[in-house]
Amino acid sequence: MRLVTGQGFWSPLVWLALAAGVALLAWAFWFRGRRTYKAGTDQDMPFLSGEQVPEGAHVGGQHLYWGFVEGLRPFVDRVQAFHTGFLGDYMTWLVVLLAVALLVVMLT
Amino acid sequence: MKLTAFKRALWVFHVPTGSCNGCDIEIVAALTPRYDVERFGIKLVGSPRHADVLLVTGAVTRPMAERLRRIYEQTPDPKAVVVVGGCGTTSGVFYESYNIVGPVDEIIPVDVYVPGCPPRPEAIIDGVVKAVAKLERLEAGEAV
Repeated sequence: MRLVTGQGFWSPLVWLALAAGVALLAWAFWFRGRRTYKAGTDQDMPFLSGEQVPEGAHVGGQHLYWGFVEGLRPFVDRVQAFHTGFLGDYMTWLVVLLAVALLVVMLT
Repeated sequence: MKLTAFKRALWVFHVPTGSCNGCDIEIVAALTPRYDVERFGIKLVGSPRHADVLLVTGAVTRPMAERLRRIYEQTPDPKAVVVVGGCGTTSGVFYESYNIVGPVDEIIPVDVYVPGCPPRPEAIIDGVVKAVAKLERLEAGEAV
């Protein structure tokens, strides 16, 4: 039940004990929750300043970078124009930049 | 004098429903160093889902009624509602105004009224303490 390697050991019993510990911790958190919680009411919904929550509402990943995008708007607009979605365009950029890098290395 | 303590910290969510900000500023004054309610464990929180008490100001404008009702629903039980100011208590000078659907107790159940235009921070703190007393009676299973 114990596999010893050059870097340490692996034992399923240790993993089982760890899983049991995590489950116990999760149960302890759940047990301390409010018992007066009403399922199926507005208490289930996220709080959006009292606004009605649209079906399937979630915060998209792009919203996390909203400040950066707005702050760097001129740069972003220029760079976005290069993102055509064609692999051929990206490979061309790669080859051109490699050639420029090679040139810089050879000249210095 | 017998000193008693709250059983736990009391978290308060502030809901302005169309107030002139007079009462809101007095609520902020209760948090400033002169009154410093946070030393008693009373603090403002950013979501009703964490709150024990709703502190409602304003006469409740028509668009805010639905939102106030939803915020009340989203606050976990047991909860207490404290209305701060004359507008929320009786609609005040906005009584029977065309875009007012309040006072607050027309929309949600209210436990404590703190009248005044605006009420002083001492009165607001007294209202919150009365709400604490109600919450503790509720938790003890006593009649309110």
